[in-house]
Amino acid sequence: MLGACRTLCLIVSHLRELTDGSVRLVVDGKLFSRSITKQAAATMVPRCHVHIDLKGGDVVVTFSRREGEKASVRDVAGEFGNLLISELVCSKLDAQTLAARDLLMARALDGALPRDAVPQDILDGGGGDEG
Amino acid sequence: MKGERTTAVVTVNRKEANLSTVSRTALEMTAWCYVWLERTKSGLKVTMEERHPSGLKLEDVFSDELRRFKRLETLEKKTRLVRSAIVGHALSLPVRPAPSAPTTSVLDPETEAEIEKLLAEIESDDWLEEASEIAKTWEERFGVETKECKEKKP
Repeated sequence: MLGACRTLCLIVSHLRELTDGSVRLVVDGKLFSRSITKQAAATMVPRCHVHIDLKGGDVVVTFSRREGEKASVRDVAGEFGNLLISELVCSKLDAQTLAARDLLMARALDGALPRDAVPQDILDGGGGDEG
Repeated sequence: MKGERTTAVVTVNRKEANLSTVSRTALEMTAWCYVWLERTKSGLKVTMEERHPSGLKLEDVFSDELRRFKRLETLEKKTRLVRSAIVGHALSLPVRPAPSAPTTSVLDPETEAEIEKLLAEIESDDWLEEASEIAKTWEERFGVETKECKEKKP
């Protein structure tokens, strides 16, 4: 079922450690939308310096160390990957429940309107297409 | 081996599991490790790196979790129509008017008359004269000085 292989090397293929100590990742543009990547990158800003660049359809994100940050840049990059997955799952859930949430909100706002603000014919049921 | 962070790479064929299942499994794995998702020609590549050395076989944990989520997804597919129908029915029920939006006044005529009287009093200019009285000093109002004023004078 699964083609699995185990490696013990410290350098992971998707991650490039640059000579100045910064770490570069290439985010698959077809898997993660730009808004998801930007949101995840923005979350990492308090922990390190983040640079975003476009390369074809992909997004290249470079993390460099910020003074006072205890975690290594590599760990921050790892957290970024986790955040991307979290955002991806959340965005899918968002899309699935959007219509229902909109409908609920519309009905809640309708119920919160003062009765005087609604024309009498609508309150009597004359505003709809039924009948 | 002890003290080293293990890295595991798992490839999942798109025929075996869809993106939704793999991403949910990957999210579950983020509790133990750093996970990176990539596309390959045949499906998805999941790279996992332990946060701390634990000796866990990451690919085994991933396989178990993937199996669990696939089972869950099959169940979700089976019950999807029923769940949609329940939600649709709940949303189609008529809405009762909010209790905070009464159609008629809740005050009795006596209270309403009292409030009207108070409003008329406020709207009249009589209170302005009273306010000007308040602004006057003690001496201006009563023509005598207070004990404190006398003491302050040189």
